Amino acid sequence: MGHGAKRILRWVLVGAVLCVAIGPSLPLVVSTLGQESPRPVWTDAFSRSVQTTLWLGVGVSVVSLLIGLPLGLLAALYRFPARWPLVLFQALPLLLPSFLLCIGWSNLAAVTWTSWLPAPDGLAGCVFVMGLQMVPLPFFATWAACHNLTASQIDASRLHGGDKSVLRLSARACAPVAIVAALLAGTLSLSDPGAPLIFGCRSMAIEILTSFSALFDYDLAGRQCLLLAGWVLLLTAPVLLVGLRWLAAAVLARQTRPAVPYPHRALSRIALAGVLLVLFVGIVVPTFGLCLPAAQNPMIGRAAAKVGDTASTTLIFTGGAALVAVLFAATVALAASESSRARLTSLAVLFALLAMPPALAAIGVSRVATHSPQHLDWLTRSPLTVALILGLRFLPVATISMMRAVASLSPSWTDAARVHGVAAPRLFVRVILPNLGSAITVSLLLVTVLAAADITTTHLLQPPGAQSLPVAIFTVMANSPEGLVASLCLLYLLCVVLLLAAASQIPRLWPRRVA
Amino acid sequence: MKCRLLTLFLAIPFAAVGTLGCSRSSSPSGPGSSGSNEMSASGTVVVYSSVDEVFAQPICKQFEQDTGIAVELVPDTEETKSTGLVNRLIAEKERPRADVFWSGDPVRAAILKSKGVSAPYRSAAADGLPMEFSDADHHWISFSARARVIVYNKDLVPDDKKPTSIHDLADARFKGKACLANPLFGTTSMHAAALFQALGDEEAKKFFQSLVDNGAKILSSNGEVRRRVANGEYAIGLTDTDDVNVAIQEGKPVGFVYPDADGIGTLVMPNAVALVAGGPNNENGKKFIDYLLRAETEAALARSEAAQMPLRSNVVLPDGFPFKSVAQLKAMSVDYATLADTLEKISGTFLKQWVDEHP
Repeated sequence: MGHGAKRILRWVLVGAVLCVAIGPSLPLVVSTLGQESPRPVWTDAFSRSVQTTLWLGVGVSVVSLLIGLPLGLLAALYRFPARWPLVLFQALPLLLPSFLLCIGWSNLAAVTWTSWLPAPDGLAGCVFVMGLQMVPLPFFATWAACHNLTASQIDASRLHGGDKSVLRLSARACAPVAIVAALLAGTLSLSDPGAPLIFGCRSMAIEILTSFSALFDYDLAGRQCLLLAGWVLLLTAPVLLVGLRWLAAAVLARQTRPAVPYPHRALSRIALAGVLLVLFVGIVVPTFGLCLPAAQNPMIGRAAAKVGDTASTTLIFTGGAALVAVLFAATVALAASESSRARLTSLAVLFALLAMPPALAAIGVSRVATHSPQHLDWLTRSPLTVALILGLRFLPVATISMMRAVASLSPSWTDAARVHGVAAPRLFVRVILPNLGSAITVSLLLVTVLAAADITTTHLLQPPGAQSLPVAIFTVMANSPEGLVASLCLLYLLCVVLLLAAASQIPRLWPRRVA
Repeated sequence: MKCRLLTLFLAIPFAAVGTLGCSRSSSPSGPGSSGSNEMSASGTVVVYSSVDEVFAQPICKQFEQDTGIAVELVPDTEETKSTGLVNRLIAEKERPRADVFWSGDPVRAAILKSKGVSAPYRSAAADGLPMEFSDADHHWISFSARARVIVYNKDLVPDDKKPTSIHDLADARFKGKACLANPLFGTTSMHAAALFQALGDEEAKKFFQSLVDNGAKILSSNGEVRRRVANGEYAIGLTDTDDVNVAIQEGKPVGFVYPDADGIGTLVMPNAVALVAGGPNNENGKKFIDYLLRAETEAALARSEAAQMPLRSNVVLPDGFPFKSVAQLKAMSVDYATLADTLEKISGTFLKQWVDEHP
């Protein structure tokens, strides 16, 4: 196959995956463009919500970056007690839907002996809670980027200027990935109405929710979604452009010997204190507030029965979503590996999709399913549908991780394999897969937890009789005894901790076989 | 070489999708699938319910035991935080997955009627139910009810200062201490529509403006109103009887009053059940509706944690029932059949604007 044909094939593959990703959102968008909505989109209220949303996105990105980048650096570069489990547990805030954390904070503010705590409210409250919740994204991005630095690079910079130099140069190398991850965090927060509802912040997500749920005006909601996506595209494209150039530069150095965490007396302590503090403020405090009622009226037995009923469905939805996201992300990453324009196009489109409210795709799929023949129900009305749509929604998260990993693959490996006549499957299994192992693990983990916390998609698409645990919590929390809701949340957290503990063993299955 | 790798990578997802899809298509629980049709023949009914799961589930279990028909319940989430089941029903209209929609209020059921989602069904089990709460065309039938009440914190509001009217939310003694859920959503939206019918447009608008002037706070849901009043953040709030009952059962320091007993009366909000047009298990759907409309179900809902008030006057209330019966209440005079129209009229105009401008 000639060079030109290969290039076309790669673009076709990228285009195909992007079409699949856009597909679910199209039915509502197309119907929106084809009709005149009786209500104007650009009202004063909507204009104010755009402003609020932009501040929210920027705030969440900045907060998550300012905490995630330095913390990720410290955690990756320095050795401290219980390092690996503590790093894994940094993912915990992402596992809970934001409104649960908000209710946790709100509960705490009402308890007399914690009333000195500032009660989050308005835009600042949303930025605080959602920013803390999104810290894991830049944290893990930095962590992963740091692990691509070589031991010789770290040693050289330490010899040159001590640990100050190590931190400065590592930060410079990891910043592009962390910034892209923080952007992702900000984008994810735009379509989430949970925290803005509870803290009284009129964001675009609230406007869209109102159009969907109160006015039942799909056309208006569709137009608002398009505007939101347009804003995201406008604001993130320049940053992505620069970020990808940095990324390209950052992967030039080849890794020969992975850096080992360094036992620095002061910085190790700071790293330990940092991860503990973020864990404490980001998850322990709000979870404590959320679970306070369980202490007064524990209903562990009833909650355990619910967990048992929903466990398999939750695993199918979230695990399936993770699988879908990783497979499509790997396809995009490999196909776009030799073209920065293809990478930029993919990320820009996926970011815009991520900013869309999940209801857009979910209701779109429902509409398609209702007009589809019954023999296609396996695709449009089954647990596979939920997994597919959730996976496509969080495709950007997996794509960034996979692009970074694919960029670190040496072209000389494939050249050497071609020269020696090694078959593609053998090269894939023996060389490529082990080198993508850590990125696959991180992507699987992230998409699993993000998919679990996406209530809207699951709720709108789950087949009758199949309910995931987060949706179960969501459905009982309105009027169930607070003790039951709190017990459910506690068990959910326990499940997640067990999942993380299991995930910590996965890297052992993916040893780096290529030095 | 990379192209071959790509081909290999592409093959994996499609193989996985095919495998999972095929395995589900033969699953008997796959709704809408061929397996689902087999289930419907042997007794399944799919019920979408906006009634809180904790209250709906026991009734469904009892139905399963009594009839042998399996119930696949899809409960709704707390109303304002997701786009909810009504949207799902509308989206699925051409080939529905649901047989029955069990709504916590008649407005959502009326919306489904206006969107052509529901079908008329005249149930013999509805005998004895007062028909002024139901649709004249039998698209939805009402039974057990909740009421809109004012919940207050007993630690903050002494007995002699407790509110008696919804206008007390705008009273100076509760300045900055009153709250209500977002009136664009849930039962609060129904209450708003009812106030527009009972008070007239101008008076209703004045009332909402007075809430703003008195610093009343909009919260995300009725559950949030209950929680924040119970923990003392707010002194009073507008919510539903089932919310209040949960707080009382948990020993929270709350009391409640039926507002405007000497004036426009208290809003009664019955459940409504509708048959989904073209549902996959139509006959079982009718059986489920018949079951819900029995006097025994009203009695069971009265005994439940929701403590719902039977619409039938001859249903015996359980001992210690915390609320009055519907017959004992001075009910607000509203036309339930047109509440959805009123809501549609005010949602996109006054209410949206009011919420937008509310601090």
